[in-house]
Amino acid sequence: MSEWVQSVDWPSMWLSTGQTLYMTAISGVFTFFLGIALGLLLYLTAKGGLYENPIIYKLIASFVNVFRSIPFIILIILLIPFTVLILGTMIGATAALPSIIIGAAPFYARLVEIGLREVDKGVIEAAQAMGATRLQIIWKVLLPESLPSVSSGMTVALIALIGNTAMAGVVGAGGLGTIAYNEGFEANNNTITFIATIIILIIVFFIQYIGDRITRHVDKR
Amino acid sequence: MRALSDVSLSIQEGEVFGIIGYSGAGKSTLIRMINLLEKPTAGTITIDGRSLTDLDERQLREERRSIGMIFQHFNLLWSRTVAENIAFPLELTKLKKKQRKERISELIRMVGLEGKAAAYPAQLSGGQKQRVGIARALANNPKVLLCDEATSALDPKTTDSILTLLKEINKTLGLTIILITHEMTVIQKICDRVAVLDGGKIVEQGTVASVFSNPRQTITQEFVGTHTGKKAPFQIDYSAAHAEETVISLSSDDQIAFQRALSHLLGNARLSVKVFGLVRGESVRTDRTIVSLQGASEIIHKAIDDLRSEGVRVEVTKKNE
Repeated sequence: MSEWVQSVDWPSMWLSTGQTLYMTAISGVFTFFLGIALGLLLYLTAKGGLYENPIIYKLIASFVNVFRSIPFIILIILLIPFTVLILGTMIGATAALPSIIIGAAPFYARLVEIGLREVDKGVIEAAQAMGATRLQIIWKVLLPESLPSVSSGMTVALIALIGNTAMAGVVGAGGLGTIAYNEGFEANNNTITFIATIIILIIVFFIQYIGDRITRHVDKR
Repeated sequence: MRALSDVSLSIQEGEVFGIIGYSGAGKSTLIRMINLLEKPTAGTITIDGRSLTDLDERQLREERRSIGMIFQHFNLLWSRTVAENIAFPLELTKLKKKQRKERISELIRMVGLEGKAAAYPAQLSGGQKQRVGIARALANNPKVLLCDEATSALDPKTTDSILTLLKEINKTLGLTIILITHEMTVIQKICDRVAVLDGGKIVEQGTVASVFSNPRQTITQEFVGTHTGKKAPFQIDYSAAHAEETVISLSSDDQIAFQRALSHLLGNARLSVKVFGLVRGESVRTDRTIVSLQGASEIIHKAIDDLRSEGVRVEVTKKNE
């Protein structure tokens, strides 16, 4: 047992965990806002929407579809010039953020759009009958009424996003993915890979648990 | 395709006006046109002297705040409590928080939902949900209340209580109510006047009493028939009224005086009197006894005057021809 514990460089394991959490948190926040904005735009500009606009809808829908379809490992490589342009580097946890966000936000946007579509049309009509403006409908009806879907969708997106941080680790982002690959796989130290996996699972279960609780709390249906 | 054509209605301030028709007749389109949720391709809608069809979007929103609306499926925000749902229209008019709170508790009392302010719609029964809908619709003191099949999703007993509430509001606030329904009981219970809609056209309209006791169109007869068939203790066979008969409908607040007056009428040797039956109203006071009279017109006039002097409300629904 002690031998097993000694074969792991714990300080760097915790450092990697911190990097993974950092990447998850920052890209999570961006994914949340970007996803809601894109999801709203998709919903509002769609046929029959409050701001129906076929051109903008097509534009956003194809953006979302394209970035949602590209395998993440390829997306990272494709986005290298973009990352270098805005951050000046392509190495490190921060450098992984643009591709993680661009990989996750369109996915989350679709989940938000689905959630918005579930909002009862009758309630929107009632708000219109009461003289609500479109902005009031968005803030007072659409967003609060779709909150359970927005929240459960975010849980799903966050977990997918953790997977992506690990993958980004392979190309030098740091975090648990890097340690599992460099020090686990390359150095043939399976214990490290195993421990990194356990930590990732703990993070995933924790997010799922918190996400479920929030979803249940906001769902008054 | 046209949902409605050549519909012309004039609704009086303070009355309860019912529009009845089968599904697909266009009644939902018609009521949604009153607050322009549905835009007419031609024609005008005027409320209280303001032509809604001439307003721009912002003015229309203003105007909609004085038109309340309730719905078949209530359309409440399930993410908000009862009090918060009622607060919604008050937030739109930017009412101060303190006044908002006062107004909300006033409305909750008015619709009989005391103690439910913090409940979510999911915790309420259908009738209670509609009460929230009514409170929300009344929040900004509208001039008109539109009821889009407001009781169609409720059981008969709950329907009754909601209709009673609506009638009460109509009386105490003097609020004009326009409702659409496919149920004759709803019309009979609270409406003053009724229009029958069929195939996007108004085929018959008038006071409820006159349309009821002398329906001209087949569709109206169907509505009356299905209604009386279910509710009235006697079948009223209108076809039995010959051309030379005068049909009157009688009601009274005082049942003893009413019986006495009716005995006098039946004992009138110079008239041939036939009782058709009873049309149920809101209460025994508004139950209407339909009677047909045959005889010289001055005798009929005298008999009607006598009934009136004995405290009976008489409505002549068909004169002899």
